[in-house]
Parts: sequence; structure tokens; C-alpha cells
Amino acid sequence: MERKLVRVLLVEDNAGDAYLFGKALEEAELNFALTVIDDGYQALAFVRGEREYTGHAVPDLVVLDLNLPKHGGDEVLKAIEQSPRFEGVPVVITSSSPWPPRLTENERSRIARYIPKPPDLDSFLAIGAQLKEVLRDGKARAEGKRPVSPI
Amino acid sequence: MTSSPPDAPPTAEFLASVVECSDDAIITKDLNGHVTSWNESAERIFGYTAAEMIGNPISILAAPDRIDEMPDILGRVTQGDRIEHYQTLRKTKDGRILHISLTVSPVKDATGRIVGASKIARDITEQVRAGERLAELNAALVKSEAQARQTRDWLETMLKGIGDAVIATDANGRITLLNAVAESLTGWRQDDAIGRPLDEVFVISNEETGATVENPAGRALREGRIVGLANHTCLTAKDGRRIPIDDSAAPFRSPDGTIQGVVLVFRDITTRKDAEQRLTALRDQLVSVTDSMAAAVTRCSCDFRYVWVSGAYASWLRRPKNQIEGRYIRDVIGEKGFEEIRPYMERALTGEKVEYTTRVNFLGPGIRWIQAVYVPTCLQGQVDGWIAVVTDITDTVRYEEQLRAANGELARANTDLNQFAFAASHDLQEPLRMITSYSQLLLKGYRGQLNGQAETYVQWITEGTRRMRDLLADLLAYTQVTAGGQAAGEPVDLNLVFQETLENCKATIQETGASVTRDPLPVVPGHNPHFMQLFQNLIGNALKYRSERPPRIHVSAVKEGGNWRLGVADNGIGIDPQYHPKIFGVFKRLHGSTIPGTGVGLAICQRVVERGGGRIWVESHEGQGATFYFTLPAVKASVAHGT
Repeated sequence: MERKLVRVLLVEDNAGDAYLFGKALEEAELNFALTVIDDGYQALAFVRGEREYTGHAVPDLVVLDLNLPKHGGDEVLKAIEQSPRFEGVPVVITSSSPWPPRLTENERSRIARYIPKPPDLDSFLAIGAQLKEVLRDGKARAEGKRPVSPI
Repeated sequence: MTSSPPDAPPTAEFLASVVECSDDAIITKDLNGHVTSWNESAERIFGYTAAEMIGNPISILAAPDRIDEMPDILGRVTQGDRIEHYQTLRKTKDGRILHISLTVSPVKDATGRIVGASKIARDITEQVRAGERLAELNAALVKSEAQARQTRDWLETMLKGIGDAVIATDANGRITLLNAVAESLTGWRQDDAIGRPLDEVFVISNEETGATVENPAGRALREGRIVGLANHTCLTAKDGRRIPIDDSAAPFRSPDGTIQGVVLVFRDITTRKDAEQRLTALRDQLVSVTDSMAAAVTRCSCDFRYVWVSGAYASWLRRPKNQIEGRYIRDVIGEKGFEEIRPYMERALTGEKVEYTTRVNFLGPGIRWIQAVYVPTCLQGQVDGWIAVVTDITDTVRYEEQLRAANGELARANTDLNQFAFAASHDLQEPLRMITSYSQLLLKGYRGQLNGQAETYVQWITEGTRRMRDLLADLLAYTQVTAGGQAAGEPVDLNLVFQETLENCKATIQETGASVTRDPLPVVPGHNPHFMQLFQNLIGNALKYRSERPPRIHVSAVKEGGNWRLGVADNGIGIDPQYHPKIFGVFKRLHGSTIPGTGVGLAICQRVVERGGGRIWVESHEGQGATFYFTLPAVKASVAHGT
């Protein structure tokens, strides 16, 4: 069965983690196109469709690491919130910290899920399945159905 | 008088003239009491003429209350008795009452028969009256003599009874009186002393120098006023004894104002001297006690002067005692310091005990921190000053300041260290995750392509990183106990914490067949995650360090004063007492890799308990199970006894 191509934007400064995210998506057997941006400055440009990202397609899913160089993940998240192009695009927040990030009410309502980076490989690879769920929920939402689990 | 031969009997005429010439009334009466003869003197005395009386009863003459005696007298005379100088009262013709002396004799006839009585009556009224006046005078005399004697007796008694010695002299200073006390003090008897010059008996000198002291009596006589004795006067008694005395001399005057002598009053003051000496001894003791004290002690008077100071006080003010005692406080410690402590001194003078700690700028030692106690002193109900005990706490204050500064630094360092530990344990997670993930990826992706040796190496890497991950996680949890802040937190129901812990350990409990029970647990103030750590670690340990038997774990709670003492008792392998002090240290472990663990769990428990103001300890012996006790402050009136 020909699977629909899923565009995933990963904002992640750790190349190792970026690779593992790719592995995780593979594990979930998704037909995906992964764009990795490794700093906040570039990420902001992408969201706003500026500079080299002018005319770039809007992704189906954003995975955002909160700890970013130059501009923090929270700034990127804010830009996404304010972008009409990104409306309805599910955003997953991730980080290495064992504790959930401190988010404002607005931020919380905008994000689809928080997924901490698990300490072992198997758990990490299982993130793919979670992302698949998020995509399905996003699709359901777009079709007017209630999301199964927001966060 | 007509001469007649002495031998010849007197003639009747002669006798009759004798009768007529006699000054006395000569009366005769018959046995019936009728007057038979009445001479001229009788007429003169009684006022009746011979014609009026002769033949009439003699009883006319009787005084109203003497009528009865007449028959009696007549009766006795009739029997031949003679009554001589019988004093009685008779009444004259004009009614006057006369004092009469009567001599009544019987009159016999030639045959010797008593035929009547002759009576010689003499008017003794004047005599009697004079006698009576004399008697009155005499009585008055007797009475005044008695009064004088009484006065004298009274004075003597007083002089005897008086506690003071009294010596009186005349105007020439010669002794006229020496009372009993004076006798015993001087050693002179009054009889020997009287008439002697005062100086001979009352020998006085200066108690200390022995020099002769002027006798106050001399001055009193000379100056005509009361003279007191100088202090430290000693009386030398007759036997040489020296007695400390205290005296005064007062002149006494006659009604016209001339000085008649002097009265010297003195007393033995040996007892008072002894008391003074005891007082001096006491003062010396006080001085030596206060001098040996490290605290500076002083007594000040209500006019803000130093009365005395202890050695420590003097040396603290950098002055010898004699430059402090008696001086004004203001002059000794300086205007500035005086004004600084003045309010405290004034409060002490209101009778209040004052305690204070302050910084004072003293003239001698400079700016010092002092801790002082002022105790007011009283004399006859009036505050007359205070006793001050002063401790110089400047060094202590400085040490405290240094300690505070050091503590502050320590706290900052602790915070830094904690932040460092947090950052380290947090930020190390990421690279560690890389190593873990990629070594696992290596195993997974190259399964079968690595030779056996390489595969073992990669497994060891994985194993090592897993252990390191656990360590970092626990270390992070440990730093978070403090990072949670010092706030008291909210009431936490430990029954719920217990329940949640059981949920978390469900797998192990089922697997080991453990029974985990509890007493009703209290609600205590704190942070829920911290209590979770505490219970998780203690119950987790009890399950982990089990013996061959199925674990029996009980959580007890006992209220002790303001605290709860909780205990987690198990029947596990126990802990050798020699290791008890070590087990709460970070990364301290008693077991090798046979029982997994990081050695941070109990350190976290200790941190949670101590942060809450309690303490934690263990009671255990190897092979006999262990009980971990910890105390937690109780929260008032909110003890939950849930299921």
C-alpha cells in the first residue's frame, strides 16, 4: 500500500537525537520526509517562511526540542502559534530533562504532546508510534473529531 | 507669900487663899455631884460665878459628848481612886468648848469617910491647839520628806536601770554621782569616786593613737553647752582595760542659771565596734569575691558615682580602683558613654532590675559591646543605687558576626554546589543517553556482525551507562530535596503516600509474597514528592534487603510531644551496627553488585527528614531485621486516621 508522505519538521540541535528520531519514524513505518533544523534562528525563519525557506511547504508535524541555541524552543513555539500557515499543524515538544517543561496556558493548548527523550534505545524508538498517534489525532481534529488524548 | 513656920500645918485661911490664887479651877463636889466650892479661876475659866454653881450639878459643865464620863469619874473617886491629868472637853457658860486637864481626888471627913471630890481643872486649850498645829506641820514635813525620798529613789532607780553609764560632777568637776554602769565601766565604786576630780576616774584617750583626749565635761562646764565625744575614744578603766566608748556631756544649772555641774553620759560600744568589724570583714570578702570574678562588678550610688568596683571592672576601664571609686560615672567613662547607658541607670533607680545588651563608647576601652545587669539596692526602703554586673561581649559579637558571614558564605557555597550537582546530574543525562542509545544501537544494528568479544564490550558499556544513569537520577533527586525550597509546605497525608508507595512496589510485593502493613499515619507538613521519596526508599529497601523469609514490613507511628516518630520495620537481613553511621552517606553502599543500588536512597531520606526538622536513625542487627525510625514535626489538629 502506497503510504501518504508525511512532512516532519524536527527542530533539534543534537545530531545523535535527530538521527534517533529518524530511526523512530522508520520504526513506525511512516512514509516521511524529515527536515532537521539545528538552531532557533533558522527555525524561526522556517516558521515564518523567510530567507531560504521562502516557499517551503508547511510540515504535517513539528517536533520541537525546547533547549536550542540562539533562540529557545519557546520562541519558536510562539512563532508557530502566531503563524496562520501553521494553524492546525500538531506540535510535539521534547527535551532531555526528566521533568515536564514549564509552559504557559497558551503554549499548553497549542502543543499536541510532550515526549521526554527516553534514556534507552527501545523507548526512544517507540517515540515513532507516539508521533503516528499524534498525526492520526491531528487528522481527526482536522476532520472535526475530538482528539483522543491532548497531552 | 505670908511666911509661917514650916512645920506648922497650914491654916484654913492660908489654904483658902492658895485656892483663890491658883490659876487652875479648883472645884469640890459632894457624892451626888453637886458643886460645893467654886474658886475664882473656875469662874474665869468656865464663866459661871460661885453663886451660880454652888449647889448645882457639876454636869452643867460637861461637853455634849462627854456627859457620860462624869458619873464614871465620880464613881471611881468615890471608891478612893485619884484621877490625874485626865484630858477631856468641857463647855463654858457662853458655849465654848475647852480642852481641860483634870485631876480629881476624893475628899474625906475627919473620920476618913469619903464625902465628896475635889477637882482641879486646867484650861489646856491653847496647849492642845499648838500641839495640833505642830502635828500638822510635822505631818507636812514627813510628807515632803517622803516625796523627796521618792524623787531620789526614782532618780537612783533610773540611774541604776539606765543602760548608759552616768557620772555627775559639781561645778568644780568633782564627782557627785557614779551610777552602777559607770561603776562597772570605770572600775570605780561610787563611794570611792565621789569627791574626786573627774579626770582621775574618767580617763579617756584616742582608740588608735592612745593620745589623751580632752574630757568633754571640762568643755561642757567651760562652754555651758552639750559636748559630744570625738570618734574612736577609749576609756581606760581602773584596772587598765580599754573600752571603746561613745559619750556626751551636758551642763546642769540651778534655777538662776548658774552652772552647778555636769552630767556625763557614756556607753560601751564594743558590740557596735564588733559589728563594724564584721561589716568590714564582710566588705573585704565581697571585694575579694568580686575581684576574683571574671565579670566586672560595681556598685553605684544614686548620684551616679562609683561606690566600689571589682578588679575586673577597674582593669576593664584601664584605671586603678582609686581613680574610679567615689568618682562620678560620667567623669570615669566619659560623657558619650554615660549618656548612652544613662537610661538604663535611671530605670534601675526606679527600683527595676535592668538587663541590656548594647554598644557603648567608653573613655578607657573604647567602643565595646556590653551585656549588663543592674540590680537596684535599697537602704531603708529607698533605692540608693544599684549593683552592676557587666560582661564585655565585644569578642563574642565579633565572632558572631564572623560566624554569620561564614554561614552566609557556606549557604551560598551550598547553594552553588547544589546547583552544580543539579546541573551536572541534569546535563550529564544527555551525553549519557547518547552513549546508552548508540551502544544499544550498535548491539541491535550489528547483531551477528560483531565478534563475541566486541559484543561483550558493548554490553559492558551499556551496563556501565545504565548504572551511571541510575546514579545521576538519584543524585538529581537528592539535589531536588533542597532545591524544593525551605517553605514549610502543605499538610501531607502519609496514609496516601503509603498507599501510593505500595502501588509503585506492587510487582515486587507480589513477587516476594511480602506483607506491608501500617498504623494509622499522621498528616504532616511538607512536600508530597519528598515523602514519596522517603517511603519509596525505606519500603523499597525493606523489600530489597529481604532474607529467605517472605518480607514482613510494618510502618508504625507514635506521637512524642510535638513530633511524630515513624518506624519502618522489616524482617530482612539487617545491618551490622558498625555500619549504622555510614549508611546515610551519599553513594555509601554495604553490598556489591549482588544487590543493585546507587547508595543515594538513604541520603535522600536523611535529607528529606532533616529538612523537615526531624532526624532519622536505624536500629538493627545483622540477620535480625532492621527498623528505620524518623521523626517529623506534628501538624496541629489535622491528624488523619485513614484506612
